[in-house]
Amino acid sequence: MTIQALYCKMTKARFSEFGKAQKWIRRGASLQHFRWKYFPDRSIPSSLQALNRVVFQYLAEPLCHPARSAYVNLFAPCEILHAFDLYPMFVESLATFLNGFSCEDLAVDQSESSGLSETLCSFHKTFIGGAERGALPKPLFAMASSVLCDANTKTFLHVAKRLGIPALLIDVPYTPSPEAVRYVSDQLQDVVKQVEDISGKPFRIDRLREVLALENETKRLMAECLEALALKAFPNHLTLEMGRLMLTHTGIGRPESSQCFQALVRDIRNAPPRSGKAIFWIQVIPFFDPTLRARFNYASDYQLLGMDINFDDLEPLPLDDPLFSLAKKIVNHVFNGPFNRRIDWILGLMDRLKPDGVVYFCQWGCKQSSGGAAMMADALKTKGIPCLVLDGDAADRRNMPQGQTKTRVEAFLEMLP
Amino acid sequence: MIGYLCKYTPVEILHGFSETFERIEPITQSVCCADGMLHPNLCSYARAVLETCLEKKITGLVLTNCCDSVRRLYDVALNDPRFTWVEFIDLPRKHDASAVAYFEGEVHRFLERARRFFPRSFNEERFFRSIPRLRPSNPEPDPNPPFPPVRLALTGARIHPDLKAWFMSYPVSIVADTTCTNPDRGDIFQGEISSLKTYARALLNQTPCMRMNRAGGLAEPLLRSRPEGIVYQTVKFCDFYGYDYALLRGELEPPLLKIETDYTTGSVGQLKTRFEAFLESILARREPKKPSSIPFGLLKGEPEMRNDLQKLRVVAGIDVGSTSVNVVLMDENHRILATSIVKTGPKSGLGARNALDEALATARLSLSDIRYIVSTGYGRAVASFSHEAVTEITCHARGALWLDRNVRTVIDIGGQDSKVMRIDSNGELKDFVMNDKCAAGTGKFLEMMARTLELEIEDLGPASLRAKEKVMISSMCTVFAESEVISLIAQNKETPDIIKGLCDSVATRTAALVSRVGKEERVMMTGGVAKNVGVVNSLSERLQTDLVLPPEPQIVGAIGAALIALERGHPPRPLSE
Repeated sequence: MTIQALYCKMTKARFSEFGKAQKWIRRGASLQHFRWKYFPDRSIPSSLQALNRVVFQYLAEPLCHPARSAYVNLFAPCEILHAFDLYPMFVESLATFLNGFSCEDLAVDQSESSGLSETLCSFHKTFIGGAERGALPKPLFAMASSVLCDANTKTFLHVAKRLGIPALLIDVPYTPSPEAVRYVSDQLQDVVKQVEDISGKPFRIDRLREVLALENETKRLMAECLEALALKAFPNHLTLEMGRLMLTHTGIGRPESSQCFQALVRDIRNAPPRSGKAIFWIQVIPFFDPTLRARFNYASDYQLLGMDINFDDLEPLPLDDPLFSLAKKIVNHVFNGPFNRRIDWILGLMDRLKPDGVVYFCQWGCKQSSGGAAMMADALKTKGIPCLVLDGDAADRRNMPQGQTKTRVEAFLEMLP
Repeated sequence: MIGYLCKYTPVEILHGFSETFERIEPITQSVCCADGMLHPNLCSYARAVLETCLEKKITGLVLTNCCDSVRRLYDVALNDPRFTWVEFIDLPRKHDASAVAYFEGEVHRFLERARRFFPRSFNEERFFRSIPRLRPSNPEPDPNPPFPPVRLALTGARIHPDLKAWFMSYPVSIVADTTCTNPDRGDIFQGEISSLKTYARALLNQTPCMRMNRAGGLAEPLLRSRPEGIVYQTVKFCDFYGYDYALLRGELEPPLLKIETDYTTGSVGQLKTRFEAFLESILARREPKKPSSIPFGLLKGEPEMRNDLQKLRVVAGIDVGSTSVNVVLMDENHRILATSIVKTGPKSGLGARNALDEALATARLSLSDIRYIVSTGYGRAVASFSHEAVTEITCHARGALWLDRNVRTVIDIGGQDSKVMRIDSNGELKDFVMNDKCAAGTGKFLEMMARTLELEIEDLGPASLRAKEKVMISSMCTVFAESEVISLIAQNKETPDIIKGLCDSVATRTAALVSRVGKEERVMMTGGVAKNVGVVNSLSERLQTDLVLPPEPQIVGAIGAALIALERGHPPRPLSE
């Protein structure tokens, strides 16, 4: 048994007792950060080493400093937190991290035994179970937007109520419109006031402007990565692609994210021309699945180009009225509104990236993803891009049937032209 | 025809255009057409709506931004040429001033789009006139109920009208209904409605559905009407409702029954056991010190027969399960005279009669010697020779306590379902949960898996003890699990390891049920699966307790039924052969 496996086993053994696993989870993140900072795996490109380091930094910071942190979801306006120098405790990544410890089953069982539905998304159930078992620390407050997922605001309300912390919820209308932007902008003003009250820190609009300026710079680099990826063979890793969400979303607007993408642009441009098959992934990735790991992790014959959510917003934000710009960003997000918007966007992205095939993953309990599967697959096939619709669970490995996944993925890769 | 779904839909505007419309209440038994258009893991209600629209040729659809499933339904309808008018109204989750202003705008924009679509012009007077102002009256109660009706409150997701009507077929009175489907639109518009603005405000401020971010307590609107019990209704894959249920179940004094349907009309029968057990437990709370006074139980036969007061001699308890029929004959000194366990077979009525005959033969008695028969189990209603049907939940509780006075938690895993009951020292139910409409975690699941492995079900338990390697099998779904077992066979995994994985899977599911009711020592396990040593060991380990196993786990429900038959005391009527 490796040291890492032993550490995970010991953490899991402490999970059932309230609060006991917390320091093991915190130390786990800190040790990984330390490892990637001082003893990185030098066999992978330096940009990917940096990416690993920043992912664990973003994970460890809020776990080590919960009194300066807030639970957030993927589409929460974390720029506001950065302006207050608060750390986003990104709950979907925490769920993924708990999965890394193989603790997700205990967390999911905890949630279900409290009465939550078996068919609820496992990311949310893992987070709720982790928070209820005291495996995750209690932050200052919780902040979530309702974009993309029904469960977002309800999960945060639920956990906030259980832990006795404030819940700052941003209700985002489904259809992009000027009225919707005004409605969200009003709510962001309220959020800022509440964060001032809770944290005791004053809000500085210029600081938010700096954050948005850095976000714009990062987006420019992300777009350059995308263009370069269309031509080059650059290795990828399933876990890293999931971890990248912290740079493209909750950590966007921080200098580390921007520096990381700068390194990625450099390395991708220096990579050899694309040779093997390139696969694009829609929705989250079950990074622990043995077949997928064997096929895609740092592989040259099957290159994982990326995951759609990591390219979802490359538009620069005007800096004159930062809160209004953020409101506009949230409302106009491509995952908001009718599914056709998302289909059009994906087809545009495919024109730029030119993949050989697409995997559309239906996450267990995620109605928005499974609901759109047939439409997206049809649109891609019409365009001549093979698409595999794969059902499973990227958070709870018990719902990820290995045999089925292996057969379906391998057959799909075999059929690629 | 125009259809709509949500109680927040501004349907009175359609009145203003003299359009005909209806709230879609799916009445389908299956969703064959919709399944090709919407993913099977989407809420069954959304799929049933699509099926109903296609069946009834509803070409206009007004939807709200209700949930992910309805949003996907909107996408499908928008792209399907069979729908000529698909409207979508953004419904805020909040109720503050900004939210009200936004919703007013949405109602106004809906009106403008309707103006462009409908040939007839909007008649403002007709619109205002159509706004219901009167609260509807409640239906007439049964003039001769067998006992004072149980005061029930309904909450949760949409409730199928058939299901609500089915509740009402019992002696209950619905004192509050905060489900999505509560049709009391008159309740919404009690203040002054003189403009589109005040109309929209009233619509948004109605009793919130559970999708809304509510600042206030959930329990207050329910408890206002002093219910004796609360039925929490959910629809499969509708996950909003789990949050409120999780919070409510810790807060409420009245017992809470959670039921889940798939919104097809086939759901009702499956709920019979738990709803009747719920009513039994409420009635037992009315007089908690007299366990023999449970007045509920579907009394059969003529009233004069029930009042016949001949001396009680021998009674029978008969548990008609999906896999076996179990019979216990008991005399008035609580001695078990005979038992029988017979396969139910394809005709449960015939199986029940065979099992009773076998027990009678063992005891050398005839049917006319049996003074009172209580039937229980899934097929309790088909035992035409019984005097009374009582749910197996009550019977297992009673039987378990009779076998061991210190038992407080009973786990029963039968062929059809699994359930966990918490009982008090009188054998009264304090709480119970059952698995949902799914075979995972039941005896049937193990039976199917045994067949896949080409083994007899009796061999599973001993074989699991020979396991060496840990193998994990999904605890979520029988169909997934079967595929996994096939995959494991293909990987050449050892059969004992696979069986141990299956036993662990059943134990995991059962342990989750136990934690939902709260474990209280001692814990007894009953039902056929209690004979599987693999499941028993795995469950003991998960619950960190030694399970009490009765000498014959399959007859505990029948013992409880016999005990109830003895308690009745009054109606020993001679039974005809």
